[in-house]
This record gives sequence, structure tokens and C-alpha cells, in this order.
Amino acid sequence: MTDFSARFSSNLETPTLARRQLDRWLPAWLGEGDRGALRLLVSELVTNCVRHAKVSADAPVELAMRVAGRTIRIEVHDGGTGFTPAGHPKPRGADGGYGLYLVERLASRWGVDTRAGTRVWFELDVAQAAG
Amino acid sequence: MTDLDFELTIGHDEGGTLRVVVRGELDLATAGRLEAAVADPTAQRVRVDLRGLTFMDSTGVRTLLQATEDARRAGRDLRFHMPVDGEARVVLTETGIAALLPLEGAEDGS
Repeated sequence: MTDFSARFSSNLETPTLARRQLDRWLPAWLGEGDRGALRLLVSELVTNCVRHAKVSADAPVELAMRVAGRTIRIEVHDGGTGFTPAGHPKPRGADGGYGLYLVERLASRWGVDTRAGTRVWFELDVAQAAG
Repeated sequence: MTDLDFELTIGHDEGGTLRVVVRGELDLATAGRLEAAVADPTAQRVRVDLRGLTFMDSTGVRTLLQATEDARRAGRDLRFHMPVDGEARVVLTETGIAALLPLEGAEDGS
């Protein structure tokens, strides 16, 4: 089991920075498809934090990753009141809604914990390690 | 400021077509630049080449849909050259929006 975490101040470049951090954490054996899905989902969750949550410099966005066997778990946490998705999200067109829809489509499991700030997590069961 | 991996070039050809070419990562940090470039009200015909994108998320998707809607409302001819593979393609296929966007056809040779 491997754990990683990082904190970012919240601004328009936070999703970019979070993806770069993820790139440095992801194990070398991971396939390109899984890597792409993880980068996309991290980008979506961090973007949600920046856009919707009442995040200030005092309540940074936190990104955490845990690798346990073939399952990669990602958590994105902010101190804001955030959002509470109702049921299973569907795309809503140009006004948004695609972010969580992608999480629903691509993640193996996901959920939201709003007990302290908003913590959105997902797990991806990745392809068997090569070699 | 982060050193962003994004490049946007704008060209006007003889026929008055606005050509926008983007490379790199289209996300929350960079989507505003694409939005501003394609919104040029003097351009009746706009071609946006997305084939150099290495990453796109739903913020990029929203930008493409909004630009499409705005162009349709204003009676402007806007089309996209989509990425054919790679990571930027994933978000398009997973959201199904590739079917909603006006694509540059092979028949007009551009």
C-alpha cells in the first residue's frame, strides 16, 4: 500500500497542477488507458472544487492517492460547503454536469463525504501490472 | 504563474476564414483563451483545429459546446477538427459530445 497527498491553493491552474502531481505519483507499470482515465477524473474533481466550492487560500484543495494492489483510490477534499450530487449524474449540456458524469462512467466506485468540507473519492480497478 | 502547456495561434486566410489552432492541454486554466479566440464577431467562418491537444476535460467540452451554440445563434459557420486519438479523445467519446459538434468534413479539403 502506498499513500501520497498534496495541497494546492485554489485557482484556475489548480487542475493543471493536480494532474502534474498525479503524474509524479502514478506507478510506472500503469497502462496508458488507466493513466488517462485517472488524469481526467482528477482534473474533473479538482475543477469542481475550484468552481463550486467556497474555497479560500485558508482552505486549500487536497489531493490524495492510495495504491492497494490493483485498486487506485483518489480523494479530493476542500473545506467548502461544496455540492451534493443527487442520484446518478447525467450530462446536462453546455451549462455543465459532465464532470461527475465522467466519474460515474469511468470510476469503479465513487462517493461523496460532506462531514468536514467536501471529500469526493473514487476508486479505479486498473489493469493487471505488466511483468 | 504555472508554466502552462498550451499554445493558441490565430490566422486569417484570404477567404476571410478565421483559423484557430490549439496545442497542449485544454482545461480550466486555458479554456478562456480558446473561448475568446473563437468569439471574434467579425469572423463569419471559423475553423478550430483541436488535433494538437494532448489533454481535454469537461471544461474543454463545455467551451466547445458553448462556442457551437453561440455560433449557431449568430448565424456563424464554426467547425472543429477533432483529435483522432490520445487522451484528449477520451473525454469526447465518454461524454458522447463528438456527435453534437459541427465537424470539419473531409470534402471541403480543410
